[in-house]
Amino acid sequence: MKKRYSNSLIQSFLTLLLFISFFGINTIFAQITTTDTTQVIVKKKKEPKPPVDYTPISFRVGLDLWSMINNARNPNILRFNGNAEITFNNVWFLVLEGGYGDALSFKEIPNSFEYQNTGYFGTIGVEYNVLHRLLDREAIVLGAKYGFANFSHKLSYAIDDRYWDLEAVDTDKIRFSRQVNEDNMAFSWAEINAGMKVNLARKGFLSHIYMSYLFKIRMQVSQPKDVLAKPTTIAGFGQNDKPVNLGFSYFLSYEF
Amino acid sequence: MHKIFLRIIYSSVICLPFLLSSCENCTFISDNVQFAAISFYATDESQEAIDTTFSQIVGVFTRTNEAMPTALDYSPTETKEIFELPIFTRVDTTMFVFYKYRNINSVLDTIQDTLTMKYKVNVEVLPPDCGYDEAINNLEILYHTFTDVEILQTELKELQDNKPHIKIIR
Repeated sequence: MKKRYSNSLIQSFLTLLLFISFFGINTIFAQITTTDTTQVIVKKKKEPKPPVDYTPISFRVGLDLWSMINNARNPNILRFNGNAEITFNNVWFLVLEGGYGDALSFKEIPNSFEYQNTGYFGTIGVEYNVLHRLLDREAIVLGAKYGFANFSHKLSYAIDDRYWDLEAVDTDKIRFSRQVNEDNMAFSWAEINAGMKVNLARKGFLSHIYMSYLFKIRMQVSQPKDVLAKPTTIAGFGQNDKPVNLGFSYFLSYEF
Repeated sequence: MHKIFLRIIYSSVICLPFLLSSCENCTFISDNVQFAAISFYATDESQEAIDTTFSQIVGVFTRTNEAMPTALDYSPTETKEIFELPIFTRVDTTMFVFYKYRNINSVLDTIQDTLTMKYKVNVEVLPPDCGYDEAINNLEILYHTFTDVEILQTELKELQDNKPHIKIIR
């Protein structure tokens, strides 16, 4: 009962955060709404497109709120993600993301196990604002990134219901558990993402604040070979049970 | 047109927290098995396994040479084509001793054979908290007292067409 209540509270808070971001989206679409009712058709000369200025104009740093929400939902997972991006005239974004992850999963008897994966990750990539000619401060972006993680894991498990362990149920169980510890493992992936960046206001302190959400498709590139335990729940990549997975980030950023 | 686009975005993102909620599903299908299936054949060229029986098959801990207090659970009067030997996955070797008791002229005679296997065990934890799956591979025979032993499959997977992992010529 308590768990359901806190789950619905967290989801309501998340929905509220997303609604706040849409204050900015209202601003976006206000910019492109037209009320022109001219009936006369006038052939306009095609004007040459102005050259795009690639001068970097701002630097932003942000924190992933989605990972914070997941930390609150699941006390066995601890993740911190941050990002830094350089914007080139709101057309191109050079993005660096990094973070830390510590995930614990376990199961009680019978056949109990405990698995913990701890490590760091980083991603580097670019994003392109597909509506840069219509939007001066907001963006709808498509991007590509390369990610890498370095981590260690440990697994301990016991088997209670097979021939070799039937005796151990009543006697010394310690000699029948298995421990696997593996350190310094590397994992890498490629990422395609799409999302929105919304400026909260045009004036004041809030004009420096951006909220952005990003949907990610992550594909394994390389994973550790010759390991005794297959790594799961990798920082930055997530569950490693399939070669491709989906991810989501919700960043709150400050622009300098 | 823009209002329609806006409505689509609003409605899809409202569903977001619910769509992205983790769904715990522990349905997992694995073809890994944690036993070595052995069959006995008359000769090297034989394709058909012969029905065999043993009085007892007992596991032995290879590190301490200590025999298990219980034998494998099967009836000594029952003949079988395939015997499933459970692998002790916590170490990299498993030994079994096969006993056959015979009564010859009122004298109890015991025929005893030994088979020691070596392998590698890889474990996969099944997310989110569904358990684990052990995969046994690189199977090889370290020691045996039979006439001949041949590994047919080095990875212990579910049997296909009743084909065993290990072929033994008694």
